[in-house]
Amino acid sequence: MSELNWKNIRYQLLKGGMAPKYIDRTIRELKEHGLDLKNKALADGVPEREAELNARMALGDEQSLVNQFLNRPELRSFTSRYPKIFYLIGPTLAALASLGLIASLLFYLGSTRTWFSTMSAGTDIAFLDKLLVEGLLFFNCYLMVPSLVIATVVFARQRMVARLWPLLGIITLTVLGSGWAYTLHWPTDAVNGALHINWGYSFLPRSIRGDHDLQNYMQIAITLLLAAVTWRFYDPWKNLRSSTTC
Amino acid sequence: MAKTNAAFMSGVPELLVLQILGRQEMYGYELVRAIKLISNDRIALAEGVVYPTLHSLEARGFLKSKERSVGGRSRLYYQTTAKGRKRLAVLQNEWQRVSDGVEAVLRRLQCLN
Repeated sequence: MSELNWKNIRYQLLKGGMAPKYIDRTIRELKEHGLDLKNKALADGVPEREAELNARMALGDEQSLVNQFLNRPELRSFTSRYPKIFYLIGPTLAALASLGLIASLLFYLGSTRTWFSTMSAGTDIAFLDKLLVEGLLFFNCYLMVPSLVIATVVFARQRMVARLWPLLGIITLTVLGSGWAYTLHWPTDAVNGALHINWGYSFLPRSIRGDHDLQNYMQIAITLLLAAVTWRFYDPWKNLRSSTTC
Repeated sequence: MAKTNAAFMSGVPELLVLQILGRQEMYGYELVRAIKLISNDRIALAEGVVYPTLHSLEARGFLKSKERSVGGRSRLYYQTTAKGRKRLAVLQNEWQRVSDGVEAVLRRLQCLN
């Protein structure tokens, strides 16, 4: 049928705070409804062009359709109703949860494979065990926060939310999450093994912060740069992708 | 067919939708047709308006939906839930009270005239 501008309807519903998945469903229902109206008119002997126009008029104009949805706050997504909770507190809680999970996993693996009690000099620790521990530590200290930050940016861009809360959330998460650093020495024939994990910045006492300030500041800068690049290029990338997809 | 007076329609779609979908599950288009048919064309919901109403009722737990493929087309069928039936009872009482009140006023004033 002579189409409503679905792209514009989708855009306005997104801007109004409705979730993309929900919008897809709504548009699908409206399109099917329009097709039913047209088929009914065709079955009644109305010429095709007229049937299309009538169906479109019966569905309503774009703006009134959009307003009907946006006038109902219960149809707005949780993220648009509570952006503070979602974008500010959510990523921070997610980082803490990931940290807890990784710490639990490390302690679990450590206790079942007796790493922590056998890191005395001369202990031979399997290569795969070393790889696993170093991988988890590296992910926790260097990859987890950038991953969460990028996920937050992509989520915010998909929903076309205003910058304020995602930005505050990203900064909080980056600062909190970039303060981690670790040193790990596996045991050698002569020296005991050691694992130290610390968090801090130079404005904290030296006993707390450790010696990783420059590395932590670099991590903040790189993470924020990644966030800015993702924010800037998400839409062009998405448009390019949709234009190359059949 | 006379156009339905919007000012009188506040809350009515919710009542009608819960009532009809309590009897039989339907998709949006079927529902609009059913309302027209059962009301003898006295009530006609605007075609696009039925979806915000359906979605709102679903978001509040008064309806549930199920997707089905019928004749090669995907349909979303809606049905009133137990919570929706309770809500329907409340709305029916409210409607009856308002309707009785309006009727009483009209009759009284008619008598005075």
